[in-house]
Amino acid sequence: MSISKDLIAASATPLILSILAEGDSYGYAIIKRVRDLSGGKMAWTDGMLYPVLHRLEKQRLVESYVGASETGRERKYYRLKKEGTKALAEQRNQWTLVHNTLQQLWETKACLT
Amino acid sequence: MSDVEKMIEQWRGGLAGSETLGPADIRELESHLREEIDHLKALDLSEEEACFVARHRLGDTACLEQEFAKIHPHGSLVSRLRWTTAGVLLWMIAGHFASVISTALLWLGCLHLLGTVGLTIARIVLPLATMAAVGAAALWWYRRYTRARLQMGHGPSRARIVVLALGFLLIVPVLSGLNLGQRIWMVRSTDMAWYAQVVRASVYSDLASVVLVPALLTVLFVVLYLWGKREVRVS
Repeated sequence: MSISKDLIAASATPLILSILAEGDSYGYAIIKRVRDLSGGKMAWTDGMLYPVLHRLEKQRLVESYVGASETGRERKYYRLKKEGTKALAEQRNQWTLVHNTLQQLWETKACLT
Repeated sequence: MSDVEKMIEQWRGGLAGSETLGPADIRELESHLREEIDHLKALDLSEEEACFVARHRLGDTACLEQEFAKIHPHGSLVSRLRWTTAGVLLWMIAGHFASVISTALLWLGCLHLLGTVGLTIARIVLPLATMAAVGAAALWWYRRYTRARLQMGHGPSRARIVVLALGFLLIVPVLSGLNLGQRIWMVRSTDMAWYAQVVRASVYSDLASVVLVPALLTVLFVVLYLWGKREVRVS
């Protein structure tokens, strides 16, 4: 099953904020987490994650800092800010509303069929 | 240098001239690329395969630039304005430098050697040759600056940029002052009949340069534009 580009783009922000809500992370790990959670069905183009992260940073929802990887290489980490937590709560409400609305429609259709 | 390092260097070179990706962005992407290569090699892919897959997963360079441009909309515009301004300044410097040389040639009596046609050609060729030399020097400096920017994580110091800017500000009045000084000296010290001949020759060459030089530069611009389009299509 391939997921539409619009849906992938729309879900990028809540996914990233949700992953960062679990703890500080970095780009490669975020991509891998999304891939694992979706069973490989949500395969982002890796490089496209970073403009989204930088946009979230510009919106002051996340902040970055430089740390070291296990191999000693420089690595940029991201952490969720207070404003990011509020934005995540708002995103959750919106997606829950959409999910519940669709669920009702599809359950009704299932009963009729 | 291993194959992986060569590939990463080549990939980095492709992004080095980007107007929308800064050195920090490229370092972050490179870190991701390296982690993906290590992960794929741990899955028993060969170095070449790991590099190919990792690069493909990271995404096309042109698409990356487009996406980054969305979050830095003014970055590319500022960069283009900067280079346009530098180009105009370099043209003014080249023009004044060529003018000083050609006036010196006249002063040394080269009109008799070159003739009117030769002088016309010299006054067209000199600015273009000077511009080409200055452009080649600018390109060398730009490539050196870009390589240094990536390797050291920073470009030329602010002090160096200020010195260069002051140099540009001073050089144009100095050259045009020199040119003016030459002409005044010629008027005062040489035979007026000969000077009238020089002025007449200069009028033809100036007319030709006003028409031919912009035409040549326009052709060059179109060629470079089409060449750039072809490179994007091929990649």
